[in-house]
Amino acid sequence: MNRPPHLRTILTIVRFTLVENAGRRHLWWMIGVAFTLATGLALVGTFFPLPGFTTLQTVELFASTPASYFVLVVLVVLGLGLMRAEIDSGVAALILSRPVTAAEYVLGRYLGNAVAVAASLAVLGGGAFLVVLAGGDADWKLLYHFLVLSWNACVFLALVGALGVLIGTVAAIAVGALSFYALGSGGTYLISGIVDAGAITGAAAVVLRLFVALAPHVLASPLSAGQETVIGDAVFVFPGPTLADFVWSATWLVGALLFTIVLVERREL
Amino acid sequence: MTTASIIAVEHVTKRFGRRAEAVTALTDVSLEVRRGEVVGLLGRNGAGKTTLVKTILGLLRPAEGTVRLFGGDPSDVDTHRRLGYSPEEPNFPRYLTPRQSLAFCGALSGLRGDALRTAVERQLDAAELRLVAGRQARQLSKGMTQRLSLAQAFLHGPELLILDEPTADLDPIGRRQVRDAIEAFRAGGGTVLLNSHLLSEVERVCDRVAIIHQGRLHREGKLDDLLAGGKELEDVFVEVVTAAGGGAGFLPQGDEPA
Repeated sequence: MNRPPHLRTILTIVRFTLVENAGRRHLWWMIGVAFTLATGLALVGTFFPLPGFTTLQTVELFASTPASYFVLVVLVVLGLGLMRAEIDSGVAALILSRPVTAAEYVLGRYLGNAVAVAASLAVLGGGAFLVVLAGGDADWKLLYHFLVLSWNACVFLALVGALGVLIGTVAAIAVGALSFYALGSGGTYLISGIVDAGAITGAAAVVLRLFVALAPHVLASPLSAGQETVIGDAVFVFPGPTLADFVWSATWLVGALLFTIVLVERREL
Repeated sequence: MTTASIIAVEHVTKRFGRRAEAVTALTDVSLEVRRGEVVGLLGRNGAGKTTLVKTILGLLRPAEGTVRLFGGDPSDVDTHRRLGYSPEEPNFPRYLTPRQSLAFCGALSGLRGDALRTAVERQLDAAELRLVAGRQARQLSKGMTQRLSLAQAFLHGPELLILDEPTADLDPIGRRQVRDAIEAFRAGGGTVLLNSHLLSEVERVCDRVAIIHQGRLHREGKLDDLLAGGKELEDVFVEVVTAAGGGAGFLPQGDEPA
């Protein structure tokens, strides 16, 4: 019945979503804290490398850890405002009473928030990269790592949005954040076969298996790609992100957005 | 329904929920709003007025019957360019200021550049929001949010206004300003569907009135006809609602006040 999405309408929604995000003071605070931690810890790492790690590896580890937790918090903050809360408060009805289709609304809101997340991570990654650069070594892999982190965050943002409209914001945030955490850390080990989910006992194994089965394939960090880990008698090599991984996670992203569009279109406001 | 119909509701029934638990919010409602009219939709709280308004806007889908908006399907969003809507409980993106919210709404309705800027500034003045134009929506009072809601409804020069309890949170001066704005809008050829339970307000600005109770349209006609014989609108309203089985009061039936 409705016309195809208009790019101009989508861009208008993206623009004002960015304007709204710029007005979130707590987001600026979070970026500031994460930036301070990322660059501060990176500086500490240049002087006090971890035992068994090179200086560069220590800096990379120290810089990317606050960034990962920042992403988790951002998933909560922006995920909360991503459509579900707007549907409940009537903001969505106000927007959709204008000449705006459900597809334009969902795509515009999603892209606006995804750009905000990616830009925040670019700031964090840029800061850490400058510290590494000041140490005398331009490690481009660190920037690639932040690019992958941004991509993963965008995939999860789409999933949290879809789950939010489907089952409720708080539940969606919990599932999204936990699966990001599980896949972002332990999940990489599970997927790469370093840790067998069967070896983890009880409910934790069930939950982790479920995340791995249901959640999108989080791209493994390029920082750890090729690193060897010995567990028992076996030697495992960490995987790096491959083109197939990008395609697979992009499929999840597109699927989540289409699912959200259908939900919003069918939902009565 | 005539060719001058802006809104044509025909035998609309709306249910919420499924099967045995379904609540019927509207039953066989038919209503026409013609170009240049101001039509008041009257009813008690929970009568189905807002459900009818949302069905007209395409935000809700009727279980039975049809709704035509400007002769087309209300789910065709391009028709929404021609209308302005102020919801019963308005809310705006929490971190946008009134100026940004108006610019957002205007841009979505196709206003660009100078036309958008001029319209935004004009509405900030008209709604007396200039002093809070830089404050975020979450910091606005209910009255200010109501004014902002009305400002965005008028913003892009629509042909039709659908106003759902537009003065519920306004002071007496604000109510008068809204009445004046509606009358000016009608004088300019605009059409209004006014949803309200404030009878005095409806009596002052409406050409026609429809009284809805428990999801059914019980009386509809020109205001002059309804008030024939010197009746007050309140008398007519109470008479219609009581005849329809409403108006028992707050006390449980059978109880007598002490």
